[in-house]
Amino acid sequence: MAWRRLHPIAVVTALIESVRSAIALILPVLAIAVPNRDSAVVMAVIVAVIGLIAAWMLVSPVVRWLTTGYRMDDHGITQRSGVFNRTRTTIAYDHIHTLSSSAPIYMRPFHVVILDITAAGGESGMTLRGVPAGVQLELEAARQLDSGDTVSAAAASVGIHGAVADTAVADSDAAEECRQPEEAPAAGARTGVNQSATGRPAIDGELVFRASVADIVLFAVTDLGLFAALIVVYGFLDQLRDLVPEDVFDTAQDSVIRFATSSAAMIAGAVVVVFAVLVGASIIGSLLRFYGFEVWRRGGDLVVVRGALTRRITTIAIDRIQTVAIRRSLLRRALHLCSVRLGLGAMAAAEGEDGDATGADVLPVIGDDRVYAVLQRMLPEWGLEPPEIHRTGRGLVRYYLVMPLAVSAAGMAVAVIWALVSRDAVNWLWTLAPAALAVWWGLCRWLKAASEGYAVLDDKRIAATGASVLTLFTVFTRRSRIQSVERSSTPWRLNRGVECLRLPLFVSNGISALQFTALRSADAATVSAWAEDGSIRPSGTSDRSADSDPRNMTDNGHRDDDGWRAR
Amino acid sequence: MIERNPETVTDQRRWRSLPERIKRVWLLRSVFTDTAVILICAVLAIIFIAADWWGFWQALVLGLIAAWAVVELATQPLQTRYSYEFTRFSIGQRDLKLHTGWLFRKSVTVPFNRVQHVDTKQGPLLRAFGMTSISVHTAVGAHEIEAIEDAEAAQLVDLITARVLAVKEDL
Repeated sequence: MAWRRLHPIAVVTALIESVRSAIALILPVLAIAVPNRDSAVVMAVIVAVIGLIAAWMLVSPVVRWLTTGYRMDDHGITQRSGVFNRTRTTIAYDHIHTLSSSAPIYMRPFHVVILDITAAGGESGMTLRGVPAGVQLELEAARQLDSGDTVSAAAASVGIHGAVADTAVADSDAAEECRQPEEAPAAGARTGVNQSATGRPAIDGELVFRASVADIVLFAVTDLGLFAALIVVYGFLDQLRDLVPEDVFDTAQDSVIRFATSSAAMIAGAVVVVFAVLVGASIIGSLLRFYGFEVWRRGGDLVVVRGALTRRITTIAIDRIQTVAIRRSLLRRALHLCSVRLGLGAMAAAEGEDGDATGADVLPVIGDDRVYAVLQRMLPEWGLEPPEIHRTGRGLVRYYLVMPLAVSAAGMAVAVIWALVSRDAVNWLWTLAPAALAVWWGLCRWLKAASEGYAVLDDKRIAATGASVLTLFTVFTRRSRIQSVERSSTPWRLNRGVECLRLPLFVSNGISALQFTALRSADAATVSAWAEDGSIRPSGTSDRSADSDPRNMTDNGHRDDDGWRAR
Repeated sequence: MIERNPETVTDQRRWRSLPERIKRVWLLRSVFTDTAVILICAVLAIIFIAADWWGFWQALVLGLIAAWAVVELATQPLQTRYSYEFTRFSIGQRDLKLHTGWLFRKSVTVPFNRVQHVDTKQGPLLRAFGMTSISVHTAVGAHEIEAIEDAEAAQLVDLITARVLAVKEDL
């Protein structure tokens, strides 16, 4: 098989990256240059350094393009790159977990994409910048053939022609899409090759979900991450302090603070303006990421399409899905909203995406009343329905709170000793820190106690609920995805029939274990027995006397095992 | 509703202890690490005093660490005895089970159809006592049989590997 070269537009991509890196290098150099502009020697050195950086910025993308190639043979795809250190990476087709492509606006006229191929684990994978859009579908077809899924392979290979046909008419479709951007799809609508949306390949499959602009705005205003923007702004201002003369910065800062705090109305106005700017930024960011968000079912694959300026397409093999997690932050819970992420053994991030929003987020935000119906269409083989959860943490709140209270008490003791030794009244304020820790950590653990539980759905599937910080989740997984069963306890907890249970999962992008912080031994035995051999029995009773009954504590099918626990 | 297979309930698994010599390995490890911690604390105290940077907090932190190491060392014979009594493993037809810890007890079951690979390891102390440890790796981590006789280690790895293959062929 001959080596294929990347499209010359890849040089532009590499040049953009080079310019970014060069700016990051040149700015500190300029920061040194400005205060020393009177010194001829310093200025000569700085000009030379900037010249070298600029030369490197222009030459390295071309060299990288000339030395990078890829080829697809009967078994897998191989990429080679590098000048002095030649690197060759091969991924077998049947090891591919996800394929993610992104099509920045400057690549669309050439019908090429940036393709991310991920195999199992966090580190294995490759990125091909500037390959024809059809390569993604070629790889999908090859992967499915290697997995023995000939029906899906045929669907993918039809999609190859669809991709080529559609990209040619992308521009004319764009105008039509702008007129009716929010038209909801008919459930289960079949697409033809020529049916397409803005500037993206047609997917030859079943459209199972499309997010409207209203959905995306709802996501943006309920995304707690928008407050993280405040920290980013603060960090930017802090960096600005290094470049701008200190007196100028302080004068400007004082003027703004004086203006914003001149009256109660101004303070309220400033708060409203800051909040509006944050929400506005969040909405713009979300529209850029999710505009035209669609999920398609094509044979054995889910295809997730999204993005305004840069279109991203992620293909996820259904048989590689480890978990389906429905998550509700407290704000979204109050509004009866949730989001759904698929747990995978590899990251499904396309070029330019962070780990918080990838192709694995198949439902960024959706109403509680619709989520299971959409998931049924999306993943019918998982049979997802609202589970009847048996809450394992009820009546065991004290076991959840022991650790936060003990750590906070130790912290409080140290703070009190510090205040007494220093004999400074101000140091008593340090006692607020462990108190705040106790409240925050205690609240998180209380939420865990209230939410942790499970429902054994059949001999192959289980649903588990829990909380991560202040976000509630329901996770569905299969017995074959559970890697081991870990039960732990202490003698005094065992005497009361209380244990901790952990079932690790091979998931790289989310909840990586079913964890029960404290549960009764009867429940632990029920879940363990199911995980070990698929046997099902009624959920453990919450009756304390039943917990201490050795028959309940030890019913996991292995008597010697139980003898160890009873010691 | 699927009922439990009666054969599973009556299956008498054979549980095994580690070789008795592992107690001496644990004791020696503790002597080395605790002595090192006490020495480091002493050296740091000398440096702080010489640098005129000795106060209440330095004394408290170093004192607590050193005291913990001394208590750990003093109670090691007792800990070793209990740890040995509570450490067991069992190789079943379909899974490996491990029990560890006497105060913080942990029981792990690794189904053979989740095993990725098995490897052995022998540090200087284990080598000196003629023992080898066996690690069973899944996609997300490893579980260790801490020590087994050298002569038996290869046989045990073969047994685990054969059962892994047998279970995977059943799928």
